Amino acid sequence: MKAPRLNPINQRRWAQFRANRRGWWSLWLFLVLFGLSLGAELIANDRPLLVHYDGDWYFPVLVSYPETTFGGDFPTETAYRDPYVAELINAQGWMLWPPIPYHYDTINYASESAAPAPPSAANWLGTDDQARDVLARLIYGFRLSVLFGLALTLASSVIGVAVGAVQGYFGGRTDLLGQRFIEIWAGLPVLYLLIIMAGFVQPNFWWLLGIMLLFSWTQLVGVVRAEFLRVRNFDYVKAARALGVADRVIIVRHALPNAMVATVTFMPFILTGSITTLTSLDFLGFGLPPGSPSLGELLAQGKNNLQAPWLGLTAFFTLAIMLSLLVFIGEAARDAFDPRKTFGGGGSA
Amino acid sequence: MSALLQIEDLSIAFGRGGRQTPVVQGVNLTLNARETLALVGESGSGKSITALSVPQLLPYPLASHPTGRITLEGESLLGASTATLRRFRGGALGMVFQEPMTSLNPVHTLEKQIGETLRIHQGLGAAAARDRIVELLEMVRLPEASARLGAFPHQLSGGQRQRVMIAMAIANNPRLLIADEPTTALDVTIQAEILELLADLKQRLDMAMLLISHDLNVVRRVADRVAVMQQGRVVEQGEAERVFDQPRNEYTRALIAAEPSGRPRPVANTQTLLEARDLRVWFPRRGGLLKRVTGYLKAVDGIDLQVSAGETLGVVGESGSGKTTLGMALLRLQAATGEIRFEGRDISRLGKGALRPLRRRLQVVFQDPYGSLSPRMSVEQIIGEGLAVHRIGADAAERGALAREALAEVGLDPALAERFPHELSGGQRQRVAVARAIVLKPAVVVLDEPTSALDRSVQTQLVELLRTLQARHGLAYVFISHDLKIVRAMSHRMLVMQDGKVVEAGPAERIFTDPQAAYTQRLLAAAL
Repeated sequence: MKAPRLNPINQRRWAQFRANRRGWWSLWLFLVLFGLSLGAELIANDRPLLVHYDGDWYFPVLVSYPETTFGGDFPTETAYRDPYVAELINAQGWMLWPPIPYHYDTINYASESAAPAPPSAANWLGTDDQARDVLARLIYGFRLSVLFGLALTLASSVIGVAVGAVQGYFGGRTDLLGQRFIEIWAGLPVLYLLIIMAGFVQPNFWWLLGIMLLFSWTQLVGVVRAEFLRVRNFDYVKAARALGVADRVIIVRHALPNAMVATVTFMPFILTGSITTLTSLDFLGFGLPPGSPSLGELLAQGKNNLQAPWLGLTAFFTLAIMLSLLVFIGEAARDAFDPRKTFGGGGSA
Repeated sequence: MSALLQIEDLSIAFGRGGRQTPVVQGVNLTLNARETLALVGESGSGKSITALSVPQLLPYPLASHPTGRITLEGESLLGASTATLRRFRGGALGMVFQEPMTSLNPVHTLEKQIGETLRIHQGLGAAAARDRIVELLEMVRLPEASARLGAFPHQLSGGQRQRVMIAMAIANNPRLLIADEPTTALDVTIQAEILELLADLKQRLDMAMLLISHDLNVVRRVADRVAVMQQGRVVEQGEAERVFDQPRNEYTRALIAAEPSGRPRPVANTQTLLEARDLRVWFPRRGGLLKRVTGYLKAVDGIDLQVSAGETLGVVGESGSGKTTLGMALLRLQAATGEIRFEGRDISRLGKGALRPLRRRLQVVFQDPYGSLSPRMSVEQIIGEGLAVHRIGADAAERGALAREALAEVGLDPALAERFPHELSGGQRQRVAVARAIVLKPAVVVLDEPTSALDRSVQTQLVELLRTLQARHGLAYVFISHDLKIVRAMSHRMLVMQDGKVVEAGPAERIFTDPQAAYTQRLLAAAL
């Protein structure tokens, strides 16, 4: 087996993607931010990264230790932020704290001003109306939003591509029924249905993902179906049928690569759409359960606490930067797959 | 006599920045008034882009001219302003393109289409323009010209569309008509008519003509002088008669000699492999509010045929005669009624699963070698796919070896197995398509216009290859083509199709020397 190498077309696309400097930098910036937020527990946490106590090493981020380990009174999980416990540990060792010593649900009882507190040395972006550190919530919220968006995008792409492929490849009655079903399905008022469903179940991450997936899979069906309707009449697809290759294999091996261009071009925009939907549900209060770190909830707090502009501004800038980065990446991806750009001007005569 | 068009030391390069590929180099051409100059050469020789650089229609700035001068009636065109060029294009310089399907705007009527150029260049009003349009359409011999002013391109046949294109090109009395493969997309009988029309118009309107063609028969009929191009250079130039009778350049000689020759090898075996009885493919035509079936388009209408081992059955006919549909129906890739017997079994009602083992013995090669190979698979994967489906060869390595063997058999270097289709030439690709079919050791191969997308010299080689393979493996071919010369070189027996029906069938030699049906006679007269 040879090492996988990019074929010349993909090399050109990659070069085209890099030629869009804005998209290229956005991709890096986004990857760095996302990478950092994946390690949120190491950046913002209410437990120390490392404890040296009585000659032993402890890793509270990874393992939970009862308070009695450190000479405390309770057999429950150690509250490292408790001044009494801190004193016990520091007496016979030391603690290494992450740069932001708050978890997203840590309530800062030590705050000097009333919640929501303005930015200070202790809380770099201030606290929200329940005295929780905004920056910590932001990091966890960013991660949750992006992960939710990615999961939804991936799941709806898989379903959408599969449905589009089957409709386009087989055509005829399959296609007709599928199209009518999608038209009716797309006509349902999604937001109302989400709100109604949120009334029946206490939505968590997976519930929300499932409910939104019910309606977001239709986005890709159209493009993929159109691509398959075109491809199924190509000679190499006919040749494969003449060889006796099974339909399933033809779809995956011969036709799907053609549809991938349209799919990949569309994906960043589905991602931004998914993030926006989650944020707006959270803003309205029909989204993630109370207490979850969520950008929508932060926005709602900003609206309710106009006297604390750091809440609204933080949420606004985070969303604006995140969505802009994704749109720029999407634009670069669209350029990369644009045949007119990849092959430079019109074809030769 | 002063030159009308002068091209001096023209070179054309494609590419941006540092990566420029020279495509045409140092071309000198002179075209006098009332003269026909033909640019001939195989695909990729640079003849079309040389011609397109006259009206400056290349994709600038991707294309550029490192050197050269082009003058038309004493005015320089290379690097001329857009306004000057616009005055020439459609004015003193008319153009006819190859593809009549796409060079007319499908949403405009003929009147609007031709009227546009009259309005721009002559400033004619609606009534005056209409009279002129009718006159032009009569000049290009479009039947019922005045009644067709409101017609849309899709209501016309290919030949009629090409006539409309010519009418547009001559609307402003051009001094020079550039015709880029004007007959390539047309059927042979219509080709002859269009050529005759062009020659006649040239006489009547005192035009000069720059004709671009790969078809030496066409060139021979109409050209005064010929310039032969190879790899971006003019290798020979001279009076048409002289070039054809005493070619000085070796490439020219090869080009002229590249006619499919020879005859199929005789066969003794008479075991019938594939047989069809009363085969029909009818496409329902629907109309009215309820989309009821109002009639049928009879693409294949009651055809009987049989092919024996080692024998080639040629199927000829013009476009739309149903010959490709017939091929697809025989392969069971197109639903059809009637009986198809393959190796003694009726396969016309077999399901997909039951058909799969038979597919191995019944293979196909398509027309377009650029479309019939999956662009994302290597040659080895393409050839090996059928082997994997039919579980021939124990593992990937053995299948790879079989694929290489097949490549060697079709005259390709087995090292090509790791290449991708886009790295191969048209002829190589078509050989890969043949290899994909024969690696399965089929009994019958349907060849659907396997040569028509290739250059003449490559066609000849492919015909030779197909004949060799046939003799070696006793293959039966169903050879579908519109090119009578190649059919003659390949076929033992043939069918002549028109409108889905067989108008004449019999031994190929007999049909070529003594055609019975009037349609066959017409077809042969136009083609040979």
